[in-house]
Amino acid sequence: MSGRDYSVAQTGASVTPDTPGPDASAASASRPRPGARGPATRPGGAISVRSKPNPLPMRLAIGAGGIAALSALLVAIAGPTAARVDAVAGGNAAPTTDTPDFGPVRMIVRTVVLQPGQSAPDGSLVVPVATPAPKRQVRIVTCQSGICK
Amino acid sequence: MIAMPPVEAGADAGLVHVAEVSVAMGGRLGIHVATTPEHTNAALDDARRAADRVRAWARILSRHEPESRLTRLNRDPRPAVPVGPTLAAALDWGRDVGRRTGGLVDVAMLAERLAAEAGQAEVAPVSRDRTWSLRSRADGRPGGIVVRHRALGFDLDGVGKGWLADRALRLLDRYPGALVDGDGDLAIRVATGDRWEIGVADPRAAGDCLAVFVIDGARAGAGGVFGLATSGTSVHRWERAGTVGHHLIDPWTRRPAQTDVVQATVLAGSAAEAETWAKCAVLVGAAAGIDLLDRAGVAGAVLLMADGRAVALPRTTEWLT
Repeated sequence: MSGRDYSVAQTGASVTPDTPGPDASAASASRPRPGARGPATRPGGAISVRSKPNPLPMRLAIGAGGIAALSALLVAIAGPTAARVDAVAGGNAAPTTDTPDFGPVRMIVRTVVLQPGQSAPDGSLVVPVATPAPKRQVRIVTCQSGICK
Repeated sequence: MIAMPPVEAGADAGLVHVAEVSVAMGGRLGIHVATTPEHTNAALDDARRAADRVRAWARILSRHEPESRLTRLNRDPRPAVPVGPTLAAALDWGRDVGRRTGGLVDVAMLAERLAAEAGQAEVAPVSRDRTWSLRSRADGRPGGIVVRHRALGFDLDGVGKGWLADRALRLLDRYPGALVDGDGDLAIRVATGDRWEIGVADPRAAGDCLAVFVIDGARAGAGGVFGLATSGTSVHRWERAGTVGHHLIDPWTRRPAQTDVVQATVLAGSAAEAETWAKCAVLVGAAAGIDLLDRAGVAGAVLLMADGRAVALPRTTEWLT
């Protein structure tokens, strides 16, 4: 070094690396090593800041994008698999947790009145029907005037 | 009527019911007496006498009789008209009913009733002054003086039959129990060990009952007095000039009430009370009617609504089979 005073103001801004001047050999003697942070002198004593961009964020972004793409591919591949299994098994496969929503289920109850001598189908619920009580006979009745008998 | 000694019946004495059924007030009049077997003949005689008295009172109070005391009062142009004791007592009850129901039952709506029967869409105001009063006679004779605007007419339909039934019941005080059926409005006295079973007619099906009330002496206590009455819009109903009307006039609209209650049956402390509150329940409708009946303290009530549902005061179940 020639002993000149210099100082470096380190900022966050990217610094355009100096392009080598006509006398590149003379400038290269004072050019810092690659990757090093530090002042670089230019012919004429001007000071400039050189720094390489941090590759880590870009690597992370590319990695995340790759993972997302792979995940989507896996879902697309695995999705129809459960339905195919059900279809192959003739619809008797164990119910999966991912059942489609068809809305409220309508329960249809079929009621049959058994005639004497008939028996109820297997699995049906038999409800005994009580004999209706005979109508109570009353001699005295309250009613709207004009219709009392 | 000659005062007769009471017919004594022990708590476990077998009572028999005898009945005198005839016609009065344009409908059925039934006088039922619960008595001991040895007094059945006397009971039948007293029942017939009570029926005759009811017919005599009805001739005084009916607006359908051309020469009844009520018709003559309505025809009288004087502002102050003397009336006899029976009509005075009936009008006194009508005035009391008007106060207790907040004007819901009004015995001075003859013009509105006639207009409804004629199918008139609008009722001309009879008089701005609808107040009337009943004063004692200055000469001390029984009865009273009715003071009102000459155009104001009285109609006791809807309050008269229950009142008459109560009066007739008192004629049979010497018997352990009795029941007077004034064309569906009943005054009842039940003896210990006795019971009266009374059906509530279903107006939709002749011969069917909506419910059966049981007035049991063991529950009601000896000499317990009740009234059971039914009011509704499905019988006295007509169509005039395309307008459907009935006989229950809403005092505020002065026209047949627009209501969701087809029929109301009320059990109360007297037939007059039961008839009054049954009419009120029809006038105000089911929701307000149940509340009104509950606050009035009636023993029970069953309402038949226009959509076919039957609703009842919860405490009614104590009196049903």
